[in-house]
Amino acid sequence: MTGGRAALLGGLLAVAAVTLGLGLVGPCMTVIPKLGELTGWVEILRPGELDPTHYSLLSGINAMRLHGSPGLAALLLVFSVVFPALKLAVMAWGTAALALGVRPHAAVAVTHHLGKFSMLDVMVIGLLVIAIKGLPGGSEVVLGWGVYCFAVSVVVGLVVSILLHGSRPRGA
Amino acid sequence: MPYRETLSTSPSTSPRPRTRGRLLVWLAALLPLLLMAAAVYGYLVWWKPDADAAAAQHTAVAGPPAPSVVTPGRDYYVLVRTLEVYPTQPGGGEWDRGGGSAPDLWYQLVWQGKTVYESDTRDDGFVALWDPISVDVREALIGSGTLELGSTLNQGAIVNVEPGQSLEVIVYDSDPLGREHAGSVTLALDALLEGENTFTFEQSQTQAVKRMVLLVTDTDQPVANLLDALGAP
Repeated sequence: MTGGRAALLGGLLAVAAVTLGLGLVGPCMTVIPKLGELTGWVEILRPGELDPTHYSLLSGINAMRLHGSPGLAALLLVFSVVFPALKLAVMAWGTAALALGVRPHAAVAVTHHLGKFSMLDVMVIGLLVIAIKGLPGGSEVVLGWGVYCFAVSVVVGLVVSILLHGSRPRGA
Repeated sequence: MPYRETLSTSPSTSPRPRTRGRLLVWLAALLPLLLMAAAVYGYLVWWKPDADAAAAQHTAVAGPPAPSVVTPGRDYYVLVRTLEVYPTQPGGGEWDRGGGSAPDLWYQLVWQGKTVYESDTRDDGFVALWDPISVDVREALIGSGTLELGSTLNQGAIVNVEPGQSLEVIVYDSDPLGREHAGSVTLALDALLEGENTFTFEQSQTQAVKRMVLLVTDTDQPVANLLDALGAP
């Protein structure tokens, strides 16, 4: 691997790491509940019940855990938080290994294939948006910049993974 | 490629550089995690508090407009949302003598010398609340099967605002033998604000009302807006 390519991969990994961190804690979506013609009633009878709710990816996962979906919360935690972070670490490991001439670990190859699963959270958010928009009453979901940061992190991670995969010497 | 050359020579020549290289490789693996942690820390410590403060300021600036005075010639719903009385009756006597409980409050609205509304009684409390709407659920469910939203706004009076006219709110404590006067307030109709009007009073020989929140809403609004206006905190 050339020094230029290693620097490129290192820069992309830094971008992916920062955007992943921001994507996990930044505002991800705002749910604005509405109940059609009953909205005014509910606002009178239960003030605050229809207040918009803001979620980040992490707070959304925690809300799922608290509201009876610990299994889904654990799945999202693994594939949206733990796995992307480990994947970046492994790719940084692989980049440094190739740049320094140390034999890269098989984990680098594994992350290349498992990387596709990190989009799971984005897919779940997409499903939520479709589901909530499909509800009667005009409820709205407004996506925040956290989702885009997370998506950028995943895409950049995939690019790094592809570049890294192509950088491996023949026979290694 | 440099990588292949290193692979082929390093095991046999010098194990120490190879060990150092592995150490650097492991350290490199930590860098993304550190960057992630730094981004999270920076957001939570610096960025988010600033963004929250800006949002709060924006909300304060873009909040509801200042309430306006009612317009003469228009019709308004008028109702008391909150009443609070002092711990003793006008003149200092005990509420509910013999019973030992707090007063059972209700009120009358008097306009043009006539009673235009009498509220339900709120039992045993120094603070009484009335909702702006009431729904006969039984009638809604087994009656006609439909519910007209406008008809649920039945917890107050409708008055036509004219300059010089007044609205009197008379508060009573209901007891088994009748009613006891708890205080009364006379308000100039054309000085009322649309929305909430909060008044506080000193206790006197004829007055035990401590606080009153009066809701005033234009009847010409669409029902949905009316519900919003009445439901505003």
